Amino acid sequence: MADILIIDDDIQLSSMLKQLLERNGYSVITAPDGAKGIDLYHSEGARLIITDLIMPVKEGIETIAELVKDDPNVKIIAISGGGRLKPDSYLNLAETFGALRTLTKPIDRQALLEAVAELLA
Amino acid sequence: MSMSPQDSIIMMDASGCISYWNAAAEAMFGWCADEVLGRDLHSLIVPERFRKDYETGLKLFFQSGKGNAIDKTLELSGCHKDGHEFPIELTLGAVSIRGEWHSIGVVRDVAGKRKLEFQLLHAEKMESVATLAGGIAHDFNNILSSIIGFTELALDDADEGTLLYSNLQEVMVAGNRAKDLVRQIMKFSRQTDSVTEPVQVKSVVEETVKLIRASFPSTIEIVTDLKSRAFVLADPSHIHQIILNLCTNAEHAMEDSKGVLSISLSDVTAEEVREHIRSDVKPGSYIRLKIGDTGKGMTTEILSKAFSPFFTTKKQGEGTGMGLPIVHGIVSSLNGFIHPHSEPGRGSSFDIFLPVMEERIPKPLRTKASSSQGGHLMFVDDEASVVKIGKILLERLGYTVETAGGGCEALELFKASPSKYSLVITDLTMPQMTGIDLAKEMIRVREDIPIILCTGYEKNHSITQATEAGIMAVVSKPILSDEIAETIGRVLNPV
Repeated sequence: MADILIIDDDIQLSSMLKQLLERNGYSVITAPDGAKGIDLYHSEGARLIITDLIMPVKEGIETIAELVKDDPNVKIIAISGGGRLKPDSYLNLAETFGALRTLTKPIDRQALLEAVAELLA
Repeated sequence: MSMSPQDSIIMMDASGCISYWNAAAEAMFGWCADEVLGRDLHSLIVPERFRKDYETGLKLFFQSGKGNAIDKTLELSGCHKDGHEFPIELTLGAVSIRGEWHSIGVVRDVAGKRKLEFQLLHAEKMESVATLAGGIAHDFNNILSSIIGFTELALDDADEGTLLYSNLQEVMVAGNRAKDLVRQIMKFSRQTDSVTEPVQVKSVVEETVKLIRASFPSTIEIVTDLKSRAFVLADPSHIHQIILNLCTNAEHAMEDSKGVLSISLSDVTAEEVREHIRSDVKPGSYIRLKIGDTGKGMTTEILSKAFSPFFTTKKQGEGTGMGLPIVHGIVSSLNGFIHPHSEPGRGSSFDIFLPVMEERIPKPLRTKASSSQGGHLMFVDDEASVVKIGKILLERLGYTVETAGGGCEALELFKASPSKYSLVITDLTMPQMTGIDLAKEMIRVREDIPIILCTGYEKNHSITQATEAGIMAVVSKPILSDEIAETIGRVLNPV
């Protein structure tokens, strides 16, 4: 089982996050959309999921709702850069559906590392 | 060209002199008929720089009655008695009298038309920039995440004190500047979800002036004249931003010198606006916020660019060029408009007109999650998790919600009691029946059933198809509470 599963359609961004988290001692796996993310979560497992919200195939809110339905104790951090509205609107919704922490893009690395450490403690 | 009483009719004889000059021509060019009859036409009404071209054309005309301008409508510049030039449309015809060629011209002053065309073009340009900005802001936030994140990783590996380290730090500084700019752009494109409420502009002005007094140099005198107590429906922070941005520009215009910043508020009617400012305003009452300075002013050329995003006359690093575009974005979103005026060396003023709330409404108009609308809705999606989300959201908005996991199930429910539902919200992509097909079937059962279509990230091209099928609105996933509440409100209570 990996420590962290990152779900984001921006491959460059998820590779940056993977490097950052690996340097801080976590094992990381990544998926490019919600559907592949859920598959990967079921096949490999992860202690924490970091997911983007606006993605093709299966967007983040759906993904969060589905993950929480399968396992109400799943730990999720939602990240978003906004879309039609500013990021907060999406992130509030993500919290409603079970994300424990939310972060706006561009991501503040200190805030991310603290959230990860806290949730994996 | 059809004639109107405002069109000038002018005749020229075979020697190039004026032989007829109607009342409209007197009003348009400032010359009385008595003053001009028998005088050379072109030296009176053609701006000097064009006169040479006319002379060549005229020679040909007098010989043959032919010319480039005959039997055509041309756009030209006319010259008034007082010397000012204005755009005209000229339709010219040739008449042969006793073997000599005379001409008759109908002249229309098109200054108003040009101005309106310019305003329209400008409004369209701003709208497309806003849309574009909204679209790219999301991508920019992703890109900046990578730029800033990778730079931080690289900084971890670089030794402090080296050139590599300090160069990477520069990348960080630039990244952070870009981050601020994206935030500004999102504000401009009105992507921030704001709470609108009745705002008394006077109280926001007073509050902002306090702030400005504290931060402006003492060489600038601030004069206020706040006559209007009218309310507008807006986000108070947006009104604050309008005032602050305009005052900041005023301060910049009066830099290094003494000056007066004047802020006034007054009530005006649509009729007064129509008469003095622009002809296409909607009826009703307006509040006029005027912010003026006695600074260096702007040339017409600079003023015409002042509302374009990223245009600035400030030194690099001092201004983002987003101040006036943001003001423009906010004012347009409030269905208001801006009337700028500036003279080099004398100062600038910005008149903002905002529609006034007809009566004081005690509660915010915005549909909040807590406000109960009532009504029976059907929500259709093939993904169980989405159905669950939709049901929760809509119930929170006060609706009774029935759900269906596909088109067939939805249609069956609907056929059983079509009059029960006040609205149907359906997903587009579903396995047995698409949302558009479902909508068509439902409309066949009950013609006036309002339907909202939800589409995913990649399906924007279906909007035309949806409209053709009779669907009233399209919303993008993920469905947001505020957005769906607003859309439902719009569909159920069209203005």
